[in-house]
Amino acid sequence: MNKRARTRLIVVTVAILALVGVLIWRNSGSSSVYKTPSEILSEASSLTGRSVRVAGFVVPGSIKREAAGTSFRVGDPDKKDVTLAVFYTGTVPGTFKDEADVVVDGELGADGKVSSDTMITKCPTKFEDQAGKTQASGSQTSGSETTGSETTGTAP
Amino acid sequence: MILLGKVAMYAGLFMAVAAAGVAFWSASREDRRDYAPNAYWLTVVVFAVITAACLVLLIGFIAKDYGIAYVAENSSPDMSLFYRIAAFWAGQEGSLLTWLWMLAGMSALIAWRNVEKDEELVTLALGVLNVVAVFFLIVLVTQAGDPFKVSPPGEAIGRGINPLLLHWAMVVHPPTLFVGYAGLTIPFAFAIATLLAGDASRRWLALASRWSVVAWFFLSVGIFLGALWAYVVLGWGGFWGWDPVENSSFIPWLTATAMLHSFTVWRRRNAFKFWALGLAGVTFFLTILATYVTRSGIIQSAHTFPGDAVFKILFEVFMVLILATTAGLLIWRRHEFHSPAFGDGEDGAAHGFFNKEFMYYLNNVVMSVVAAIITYATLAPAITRLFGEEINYKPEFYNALAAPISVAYMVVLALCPVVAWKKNDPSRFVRLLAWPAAATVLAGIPIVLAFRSNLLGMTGMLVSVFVIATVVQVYVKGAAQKAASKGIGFGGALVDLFRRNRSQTGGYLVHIGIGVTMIGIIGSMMYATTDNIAIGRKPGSKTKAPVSGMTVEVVKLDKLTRPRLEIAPSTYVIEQQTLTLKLTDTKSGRSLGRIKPMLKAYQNNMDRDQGPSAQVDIRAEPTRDVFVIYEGQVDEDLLKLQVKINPLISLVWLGSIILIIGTGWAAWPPRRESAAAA
Repeated sequence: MNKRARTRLIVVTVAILALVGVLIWRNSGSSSVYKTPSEILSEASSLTGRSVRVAGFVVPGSIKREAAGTSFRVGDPDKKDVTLAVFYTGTVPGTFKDEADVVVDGELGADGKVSSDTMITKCPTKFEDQAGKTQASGSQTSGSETTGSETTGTAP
Repeated sequence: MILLGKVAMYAGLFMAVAAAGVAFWSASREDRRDYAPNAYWLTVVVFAVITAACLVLLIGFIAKDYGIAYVAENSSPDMSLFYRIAAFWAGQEGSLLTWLWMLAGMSALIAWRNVEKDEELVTLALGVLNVVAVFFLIVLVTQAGDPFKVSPPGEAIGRGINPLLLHWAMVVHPPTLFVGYAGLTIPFAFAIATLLAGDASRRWLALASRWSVVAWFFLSVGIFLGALWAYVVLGWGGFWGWDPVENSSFIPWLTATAMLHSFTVWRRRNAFKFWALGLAGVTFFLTILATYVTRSGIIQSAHTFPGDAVFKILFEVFMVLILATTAGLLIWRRHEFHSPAFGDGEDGAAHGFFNKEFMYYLNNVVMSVVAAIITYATLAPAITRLFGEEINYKPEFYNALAAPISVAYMVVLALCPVVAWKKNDPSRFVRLLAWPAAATVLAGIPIVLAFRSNLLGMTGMLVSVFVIATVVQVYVKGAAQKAASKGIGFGGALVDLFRRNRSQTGGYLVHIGIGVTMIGIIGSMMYATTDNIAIGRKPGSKTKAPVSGMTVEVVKLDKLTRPRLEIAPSTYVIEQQTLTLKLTDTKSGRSLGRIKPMLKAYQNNMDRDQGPSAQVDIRAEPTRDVFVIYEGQVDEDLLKLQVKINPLISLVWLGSIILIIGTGWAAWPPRRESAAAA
């Protein structure tokens, strides 16, 4: 094509890419950084307030279901004694139980607890290729999320 | 039996190598052309041999031969015949074999139809198709990919199937995707063929277009079924979570869309040749990447299969080869295929950018850029891991990008029908906008009233209405013109228009489908609400779900604890809680009837159990879905519930069906098959 057409085309394309680039830039915060439980504990000061993704296994006996959510501890498969407290407010998947492999997305609070609304689980025993995925109720809400008549009951 | 299967695979591999070799060798020189038919027949034999291998495996499932490890892993003695057959493609090895079988079948069909014709492009394309088959066969004879592994002695038989997969959509979804992926190999094969031959004419399009549209059809259906299943079975309230495996099927769909449209520009204006060829290569590359992401273990996801080193390397090498070959050939042949679309009207080029060519250009740019972004974001964990901290992009990232880009894209879609090729006449353009604008304003009133809380969402819906309106205008004007010139009635003219222009009328129907779907997507993703509530256990307990505007009342809670209540092949419910609720619209007092979300705990025939899994209940209304998830008992008297409202989600399904019908119509061959489709 002639020079003018080519130049214009390049300009237009660059403009589109730039606009998209701005969009990406503005939203790159919607990402989480992957850490193991021991990394979180050792890097706690730099990670506090950040969005983290933690993978590990559910420490047996640590699951406590409450009205507001479920608390449990995530163990590090490589470092036996290291566990991290998680408070999860999403829908609990069917494969979530003691020893289950779990990947949790959440924020590390100043108290060292991860508050999460997104969890993926895989069952260590065999129902192969789990689809025990859940999603945050928050990620699709526009109106205010209210909790109706709720009480924080004692865990069973 | 296993031996027969393995022999068939090796035989297929050997013959596919031979077929590819003969194909390329015979096409390389004039005096070798007579040998070409051998490649065609070899291609047919490859298909026969692979079919034999598939039959071995299928019979293994039907006859419950647990000596075959794959059969043992994916089925169990009490599974019904239907699910045992479907189990064929449930696991990794079987699904790859299914894909290969479809590819081999398509190649064989092309070979069989063209063996008399001595056409160089077809011979070369068969060469490429057989090379691809060789790749799959190599993967399938390695340890990781082999469907004919022997069960270790004492291997427990049949573990049963994940209960979440017990849904018709999940049975149909993999094969439809594979038809799509296999089908997209064909434009790639012909693109390589036409580049090798240095043939810059439209001929390869005539041979590959219909296959491409059919492939796109099946890919669309596959994605639709996956989304439907996610919504109804997974029950988190949505249908698309930007999961790596979901993204993997969506990305090639985007570039395939751009590819199909580039074909149109090549056919109509003899331009966009690099786009068409490049996109054919990239799309095929992306289908292999999709499989790689799903199966190599590089990305964590609830969907992914575990990885294997040999498998990864084979795929990585193949992907590099695809890109290198496509890029290399395009560079080598850049002069023969150079045919600019834009200019100042010289040599058939368009004038400036106020024309349809530019709309198609924008389409290609947007599809490519979005595909690139989603690819990067999906692979980010694997890529960033190499350089430091591993980063994962959350659904919020994708949604935040998708929303404004989609709305801008819909503007392009809306304008395309009213913009002419080469040079658009401004006054005609304005005239053609009048009626759609009026229709949009009219439909816009209820939209603005209901959805003004989100400016972007509201705009997106209005633009989508505009898209539908400009397409309807094309139909109406076309039919009116035909009626006038032929002296027939409008209805008859419209039918005639559809009959004689399947490609165009079908394509425009797809656009209507996109418009409708987009309204549904915007409604359900930007305006959905959730209530997390707790309600007393006793019948008659009432509570309000304030955001949803619902009042919920407990009718009863049934708990069934039976040792083995079989609900489906080899899968037993050990505890089932059914919560029956009465839903009432708080403001109007209108009853929505009863809704019964359930909580099920499963066990398979090996006594392994799975914790409670919520089975949602959905009250579908035309303008919204009310979605209730029962999450379980919190303590003695409290039950935990989620009530979600998904506005306009029915339009997602309706729009998808319109899209599918439109594609089917566009792909349907005309009664008198003229020259071309291979």
